[in-house]
Amino acid sequence: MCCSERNELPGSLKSLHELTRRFSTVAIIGTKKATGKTEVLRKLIRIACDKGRRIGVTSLGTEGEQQESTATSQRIAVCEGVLFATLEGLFRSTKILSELLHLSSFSTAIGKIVVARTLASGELMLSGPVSSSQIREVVKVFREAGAEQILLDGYAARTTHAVPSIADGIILATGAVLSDRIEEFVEGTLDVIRLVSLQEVHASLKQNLVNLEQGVWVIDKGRATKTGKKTILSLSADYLEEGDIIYSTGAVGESFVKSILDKDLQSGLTIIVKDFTRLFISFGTLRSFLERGGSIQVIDKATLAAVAVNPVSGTGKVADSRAFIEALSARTDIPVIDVCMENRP
Amino acid sequence: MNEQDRIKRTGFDYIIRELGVITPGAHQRVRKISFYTDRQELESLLSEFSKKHDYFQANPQLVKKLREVLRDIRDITRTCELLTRGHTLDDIQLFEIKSFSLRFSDIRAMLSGSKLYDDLPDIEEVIRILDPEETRISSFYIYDAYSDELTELRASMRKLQRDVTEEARIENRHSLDELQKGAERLESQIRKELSRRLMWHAREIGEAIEATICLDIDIAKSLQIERFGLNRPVFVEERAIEYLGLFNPELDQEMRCSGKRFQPVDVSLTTPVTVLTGANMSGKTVLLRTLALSQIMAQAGFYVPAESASIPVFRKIFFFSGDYEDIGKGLSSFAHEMSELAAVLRERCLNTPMLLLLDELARNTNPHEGTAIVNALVKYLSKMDVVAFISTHYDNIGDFDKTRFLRIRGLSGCSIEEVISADSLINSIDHRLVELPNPAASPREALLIARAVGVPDEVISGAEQYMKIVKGETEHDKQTES
Repeated sequence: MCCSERNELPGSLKSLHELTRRFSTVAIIGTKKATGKTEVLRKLIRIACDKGRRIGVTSLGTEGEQQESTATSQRIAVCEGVLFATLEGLFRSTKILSELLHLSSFSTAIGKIVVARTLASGELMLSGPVSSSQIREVVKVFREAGAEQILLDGYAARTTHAVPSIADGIILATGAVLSDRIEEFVEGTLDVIRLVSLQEVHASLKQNLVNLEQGVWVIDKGRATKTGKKTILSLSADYLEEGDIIYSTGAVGESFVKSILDKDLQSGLTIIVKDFTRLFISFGTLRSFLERGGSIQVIDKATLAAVAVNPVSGTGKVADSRAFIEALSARTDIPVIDVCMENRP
Repeated sequence: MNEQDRIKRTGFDYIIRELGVITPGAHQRVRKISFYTDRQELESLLSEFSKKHDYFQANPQLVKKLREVLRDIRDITRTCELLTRGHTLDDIQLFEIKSFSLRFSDIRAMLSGSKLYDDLPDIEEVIRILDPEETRISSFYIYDAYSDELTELRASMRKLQRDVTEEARIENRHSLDELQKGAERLESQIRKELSRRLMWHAREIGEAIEATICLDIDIAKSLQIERFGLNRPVFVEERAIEYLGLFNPELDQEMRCSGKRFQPVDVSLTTPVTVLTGANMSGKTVLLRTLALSQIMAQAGFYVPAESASIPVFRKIFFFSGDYEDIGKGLSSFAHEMSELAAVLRERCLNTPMLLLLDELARNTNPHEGTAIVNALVKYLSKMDVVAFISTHYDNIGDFDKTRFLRIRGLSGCSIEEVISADSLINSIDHRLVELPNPAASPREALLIARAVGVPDEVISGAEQYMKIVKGETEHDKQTES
């Protein structure tokens, strides 16, 4: 996918190790499909195997929209002693000797999930849990089996596994797949960085919000009042005034934020959500909302550990990764690395 | 009426839903619960269950622990079937058997203190087969301990794999492939052998699966008894039903949420027919439905929602609720009801003890013919081995020797002034039953209720006016006739 083994310099592994060692659960997300998430996972597994760290690995399942088979799942090299979770069908076709530890209580559209530990080195095919409760069950089994670090690979641009309550660290995979043109690549990546890095609400306010029941709340001078609306969908923008702070325990969607934009408020509103995965709005809308003085804050802030750049574009052309990385680094404080070739600049 | 309909109409599905069983096997089992029609069988079933219930009640900590283990049990019925049929199991299936057996062994140990469970199957041999290293950890692979040859093969493979230099990798690839093939061959031989050995214990495994399902359901039933306040019914030979403090568990739970309780009723019914009258909203339907529910619960081996219950065992239980939403077949509500009644009567149940609960039969047709149909039915049923309970708004139903007459007190004693809103109306209703010496006119409380829920005064007084005229005309007719 990304680069062949011989191009690799040990430096990139080292930096990736330093950037991720402090996290107990690392989620790998992508700006798009084919941005090299699995490549990042491979590196992280290699690091753990080199360091003798006990890890648990899985990759988000596909909810059946794409039939899981040996043909579509990527092979991932692992050493002995790695905990992994994958579909029972894939487990059966795995050659690597491994000890079965758990069969999931749930069943995905294409079968149950098996958790096992490798007893030899070899190659695995991973397609695991789909929903957040399924991910939680797998993570729990990994922990009980002694995993020191858990690595969760994503599927396409999905972020279910990157919820701060599951993953304490995130690696964002991005690359020339977004665009061959540096400027577009940088903007596209910054959109996701902006979303993942949404600021946390003030600690004193957070305390008042964490235990609120489901619904939509208006915050005034640090005090929350219930709007009587269960979801933000039913909340009309007419209800709101400039400078208001609203908190939704559930999802916040495109139409709501657009209706606020249409209202053309002088000074913006503040929207508070549980975490960045509750926000279902296009990057364009997010940008406009923030540019017009609006603010979006989260109760649980996600930690973006690094951005990993994959220079291979959709057409297979390899871009000048150094230029990509330099352009992106100039616009963000998050460490940017080339997972294939180089040290971080 | 098919089984599913009956279960839904009486609210038995609520009881099942609220049981809170844990294991997948128990979830499936309670969806198709069997009903017993043999008194002896039911009695021994209930007496066995009541001992277990007492035991669970006396050991709440144990129940908690048992439920924790049950939570980790997966459905291995299919795997067990494969084993019985002589299939060779794969690693996942062998893991399922081992994992289940270890958990079952835990359950067996927990229950070893009770004589009630001294017949649980012993599946230690299954564990010995699948746990050659005797770790008793719920994990599985084809262990080295199964074969010295396999141990050696794997050791050689590991040695080759450790050499990671580029040249060594290319050089070793072929020998590794060979070793891998050899190991796989051996592993599949071992799986075959393990499955063959396990097949001898398939029956015990099957019994253990069954035992966990029963345990799960028994514990759930026991906890529900406490939660709902159910009691053990007494079965009697004579056709007489006697309830003290009968209540509807679903409505009671609902009312508890708003700080209220269901008002329990005492009911006694004898063979053949009892006619029930009472105002709208007085709870006739609920009473009939609860009687059906309680009878079904009892005959399914459950405790019943009453302080005490003395009931016969019926071969058939029928509950006609009157609300038919099945317009797809093109039948009117009335036609639908009659076709169901016809089906029951066609069964020639003359010598089959039946419980028939008919809620406002023929309510959807004109009162003239409706009254005639219900009256004729009461007469017809009086010759059968039934306990029938018929609620009605029609006057003068059942002037036959054998009929009993009950009435729900309802709003008796309340004046229009007292009943000023729908809420106060509900609170004013007295659900207790009174026995009447003979068939009486249905209570005239419709206008009172209509007013309480806000029908305009003009309509109410218009109706009162109309009734006076009709009454005057009838009296006038009578006078002219005489």
